[in-house]
Amino acid sequence: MKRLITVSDFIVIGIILLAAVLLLLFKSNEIGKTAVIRVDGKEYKTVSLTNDGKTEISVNGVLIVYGGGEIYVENSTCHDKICVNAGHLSKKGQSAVCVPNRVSVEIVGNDKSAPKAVTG
Amino acid sequence: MKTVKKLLPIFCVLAICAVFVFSFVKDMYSEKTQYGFACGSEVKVTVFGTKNGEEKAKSAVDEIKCIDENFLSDTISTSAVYKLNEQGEYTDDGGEFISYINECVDLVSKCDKMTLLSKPFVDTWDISGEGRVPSHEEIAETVKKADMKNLTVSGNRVTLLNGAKLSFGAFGKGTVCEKGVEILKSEGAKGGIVTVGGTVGVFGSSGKSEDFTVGVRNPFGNAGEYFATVSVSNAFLSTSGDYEKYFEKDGKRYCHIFDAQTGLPVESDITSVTVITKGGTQSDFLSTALFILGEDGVSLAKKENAEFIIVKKDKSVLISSTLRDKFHLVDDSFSVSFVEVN
Amino acid sequence: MKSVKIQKLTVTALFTSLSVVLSILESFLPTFAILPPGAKPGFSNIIVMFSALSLGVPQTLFIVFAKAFFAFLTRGAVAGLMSLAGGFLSGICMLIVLRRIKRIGCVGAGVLSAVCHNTGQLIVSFITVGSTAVFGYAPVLLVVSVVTGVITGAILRAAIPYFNGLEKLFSKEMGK
Repeated sequence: MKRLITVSDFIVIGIILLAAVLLLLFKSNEIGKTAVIRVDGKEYKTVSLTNDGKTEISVNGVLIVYGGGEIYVENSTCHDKICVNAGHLSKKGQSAVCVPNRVSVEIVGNDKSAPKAVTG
Repeated sequence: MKTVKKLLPIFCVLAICAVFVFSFVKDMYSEKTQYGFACGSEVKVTVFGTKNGEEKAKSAVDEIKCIDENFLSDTISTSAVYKLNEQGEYTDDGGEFISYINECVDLVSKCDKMTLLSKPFVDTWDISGEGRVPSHEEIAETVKKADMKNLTVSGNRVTLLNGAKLSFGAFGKGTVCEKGVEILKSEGAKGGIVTVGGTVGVFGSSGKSEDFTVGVRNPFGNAGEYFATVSVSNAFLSTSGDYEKYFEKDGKRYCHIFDAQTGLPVESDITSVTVITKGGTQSDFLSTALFILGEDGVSLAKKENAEFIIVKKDKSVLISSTLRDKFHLVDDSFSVSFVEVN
Repeated sequence: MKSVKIQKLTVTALFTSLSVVLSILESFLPTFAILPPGAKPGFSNIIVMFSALSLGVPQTLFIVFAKAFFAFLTRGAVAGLMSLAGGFLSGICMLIVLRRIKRIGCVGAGVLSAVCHNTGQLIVSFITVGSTAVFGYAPVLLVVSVVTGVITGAILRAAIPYFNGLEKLFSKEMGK
């Protein structure tokens, strides 16, 4: 019958953890960086921000650009341009909302320490 | 075959136990969020640790939209406020709208630089459009229109005089936020967060704790960026500031909050005010009032049992001393001082 | 002989349904604080390990394919493809490790199974998303694989005695 754990098992686990650490050293700042684009409160698309090139996407009159670790609203058909003024978003929880066009962009990730809501 | 027969009941029992344990644990730590748009802002409702949390959050979002469309909005033609502004009078059969107006009139009477009739300001300065600086005569005209004497309530009838136009801009978000929390509570949610624009309402427990950590927006940073956090339980937080809705003309910045006595956009060394209280309408009102009054507003906050965080343009921050243990500075470039409120 | 075949068929069917049930139950699990989104304990890997240990190559692969087909039906093509790639890799790995490499114990097998499963899924998500960004997730998944693999391996070891009866039954029947 198979034993529960052997010396070889520890070696296997050790090699895997070592591989994880090595991979982490190369790519540590890029983990799980994605943004959600919502239209009228419903998820429209989830995009990864880790590509080096910039990608453009036009949603409901809002031109969104993402890539290289950030996402931002390049232009919008709305008057107040609050979404454009929100600037370049790169950290979890940051968002740009275009109320007239009902489009919102929010960066999501696994940062458990970030607050669940922001006032202001 | 015998072994299979013997094992089968064990499998079944295990599977049933697993289903029970999993469904219990699943609800305990669940976190469901729904989004929508109302009151000229994004609405975000999160329900914690509750069965069918998603549906409950959805119904809160829908109810908030409904209140905005039927009562509070001054831009949607189906709302009571829109009809009141068009016709100069409005008869409310339900009585709910009238009692809400009375509640707001009471609040406004506590700050003589505020008015419920602020729509002429926003329209004349074209705040939601390109923005323009009106002439002195026009400004004097809007000040006359904004006088609270132009609003009369008798029985279930509201009347506006002298071309006055009502706007719940400084109250509506707080009110629907409060309503959203009420709905979640009445539907049996164990805890939740309702965010409408700058107003955040928290109640109950997140499954781990009754304290919710809420970020306070960095007025000098991007949307969603916070310079500090506060942990609160069963409370409403509202923030008013000049950093999001404004326009610039000839190098001067004009914000969207107006002094009812001068008719001019508020200009001060303050860039944002966050107020924490037990009521949503109250916190929304107080954050605007404190933004207009500046440090003079501290006594009003004391009277209303409200806690505040005032951020000045030089990055100095004034905080109620009662927030000492709940406030946590994240960005060290801000300097914090506490104001005794007892 | 015939009864052995039927018996193997019955047990395979039982295992297949059990692995499907376990993956459904798993989808009910909330994302715990320790687990990043998308990472799952992989309890159905235990079933694949069982069958690799006591049934045989075709039976193990059948369970993998059936599970993938179920994922395809209930959660769509991408989920099905992910389940297939992950299941196939970990299935092959388990057939080799558990049947041929005697030096590796249950915990090691569980960890390897989880790593293979996640690697397969990562490759599929790389193909469907078309971006190398998904590999940024690899270190997290490796660590998670170690944690969940230790757990599934321990459960496998604890459950083996209950299945010994099955093996004995087979050998007895085959002896006749």
